[in-house]
Amino acid sequence: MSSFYGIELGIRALRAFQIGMDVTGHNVANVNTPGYTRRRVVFAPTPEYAINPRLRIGSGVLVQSIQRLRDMMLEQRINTGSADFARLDTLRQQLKEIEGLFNEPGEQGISARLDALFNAFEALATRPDSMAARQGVIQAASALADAFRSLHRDMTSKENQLMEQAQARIEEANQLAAQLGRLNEQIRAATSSGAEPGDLLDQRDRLIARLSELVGARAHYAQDGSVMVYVDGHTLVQDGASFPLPNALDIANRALDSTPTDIRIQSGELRGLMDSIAHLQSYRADLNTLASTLITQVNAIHSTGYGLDNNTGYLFFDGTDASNITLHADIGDPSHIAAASIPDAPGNGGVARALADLRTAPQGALGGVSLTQFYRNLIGRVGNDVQVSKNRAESQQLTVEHLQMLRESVSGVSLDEEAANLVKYQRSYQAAAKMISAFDSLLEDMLQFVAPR
Amino acid sequence: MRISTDWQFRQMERAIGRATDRLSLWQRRVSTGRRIEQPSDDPVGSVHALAIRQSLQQIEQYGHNIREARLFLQATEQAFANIGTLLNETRQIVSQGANDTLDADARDALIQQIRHLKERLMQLGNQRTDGERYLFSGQKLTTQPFTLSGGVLTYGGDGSPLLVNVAPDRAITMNFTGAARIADLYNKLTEIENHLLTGDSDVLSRIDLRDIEAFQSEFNRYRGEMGVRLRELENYETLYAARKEQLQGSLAEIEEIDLTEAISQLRQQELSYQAALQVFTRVQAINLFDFLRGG
Repeated sequence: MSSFYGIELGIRALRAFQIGMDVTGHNVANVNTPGYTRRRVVFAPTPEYAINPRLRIGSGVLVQSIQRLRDMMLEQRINTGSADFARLDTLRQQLKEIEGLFNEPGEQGISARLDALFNAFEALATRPDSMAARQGVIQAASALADAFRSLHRDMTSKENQLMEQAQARIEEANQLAAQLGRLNEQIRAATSSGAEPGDLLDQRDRLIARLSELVGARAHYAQDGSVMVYVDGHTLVQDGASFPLPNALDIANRALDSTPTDIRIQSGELRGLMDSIAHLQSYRADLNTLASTLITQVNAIHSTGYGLDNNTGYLFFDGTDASNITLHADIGDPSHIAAASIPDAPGNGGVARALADLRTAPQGALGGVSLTQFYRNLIGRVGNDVQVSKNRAESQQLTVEHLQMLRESVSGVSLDEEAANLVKYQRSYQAAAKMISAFDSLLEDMLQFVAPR
Repeated sequence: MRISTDWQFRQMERAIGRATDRLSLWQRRVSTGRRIEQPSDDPVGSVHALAIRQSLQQIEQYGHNIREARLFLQATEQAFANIGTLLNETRQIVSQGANDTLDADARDALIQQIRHLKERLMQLGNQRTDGERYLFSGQKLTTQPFTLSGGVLTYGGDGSPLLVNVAPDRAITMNFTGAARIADLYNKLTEIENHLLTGDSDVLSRIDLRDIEAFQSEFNRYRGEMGVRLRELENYETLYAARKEQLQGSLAEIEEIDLTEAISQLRQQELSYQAALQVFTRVQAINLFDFLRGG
């Protein structure tokens, strides 16, 4: 047993407590770093020293490891939960915007303009001879056609925008996958040298979290510290390699076209965007059905009537659906509007009356409801979809927040705790230093005794 | 449970965020007075509101229709009132003409009078409302209904009804469809004129007087019919006034807020917002590092 045994023991303790303070400092410094996992120093006693076969004496402390406090099971649950939240929240946001396109309730909406057109027909039925009533019909009808076309245009540009966003999500996921592949290599190299590369692991977990938020990717952790990431049956990252997602969207099946099998997207922002596009397309299909039924029905009745010029067979609307509905060239002259059911009777408003009756007449093409009711049902459906998506996103948010709280309670940095640790290590350091000075005075006494002046 | 510092701050941030959201929602509701701004605020309510709006629009249009029909019917009724006066005068002329002791001058005066009445009747028959539509030409509206040829008045209208919708299942005829009878009356006046010319006091007293009396009661009946229709219009107008009020009430109930409740909600949200802010400042002040300072 060396005479400096005690001093060496003290130095080991000083080093260990300094590391403790360093780690505390690292934790405090990263209190605001997103995705940072708190570290903890694990101390262990150094091997004992045998003075004689019956007596062993302790030799102090060493830092065994610096632990990264993370619950991987919880982490995976959070990623899955966040992916679902990302899907629902994206859908909520987009549906809210789509709802805004309808301008309901309001004067600019299709509902008000349908009412205005039927009122104009009614006014024409009362005053079939009046040019003012005819102008009123033209005005109301072209305002309605404008509203149809502009809503259709807005929906289509919204659809294009959503498609672009979906492409951007796929692009981002592919870039992250490539980064993750490179990170896998670095982590494997670092792990093989023995030390846990904490900051690399934090970075890896952040990438995985973002990937599941984007496309609902799932991770599988290997023993060597690398991670395999996959979406449905498609492997996105394995070891150092990444395999990009294809970008051909199959909205109806919520999938990406791929060979041999399509990749189904179950959650994440990408799925939310696909859901939004599917909703948008179905609203637009209803709008087109409404417009084409209006065109067909109004024309069928109008063409049987007589204009003030006593000619018949005039068409009222031109076009096939909401994208291209306009007034027909036939009624460019308002006197050609066929209000009368017989010729030579400017006071006859029979056809105008039949047109006005379309307001509430059930339509086979619309499943037995009237034009106005069909549109109201569409608005009800949109409103309901927004409300449901809002409620679902909010409840999923609570679930994710709860999981995040659990994670934070394991992995998050608490300044109070770090302050206490700092005091603890500081005091321990002081004690170890005291110990060294005690051994020092012991040695001094001994030296004076051995070699007196 | 271990609470991390970052989580603590995030929780408070979120609490303040939620309080702000709710506060601004009620601020908006109180300032706009509306609880539905988008269909998703109340999908069922907003569909109902659209349906009510449609009914209100329809009622508004029926209101226009009723006013239109009333103008036409009133003009027609007035025409019958004038014809009634004209028939009273005719009756007097006929009974004076039936007197054998009438001298030639007096007879000439009666003939002048009857000619004048014929002219007035033709004017009444060809009367137009608002200067364009003939009252009595039916759906031929812009064709002059009565023309004179060879001293005989003929009806050129079609006697078809001008219909006005006043309810989904009720159309009211706003014109008089038996206008051909005005021509018959005119031609009767021509007969009387001829009988006065020939001094045929016997026919005047026996036949013409009776005929005119028959015309009087017939045209009186027509005037009555117009009155009946005018009263029906009035009934619809009263009905719609009540219905409109009721619908507007339901619409307000669906779309608008109860101001008293909204203001108390707003107060409450202001309080919880302030509370969230205070919690934030309190919690921020508590930190072990502060206590250890100088230690």
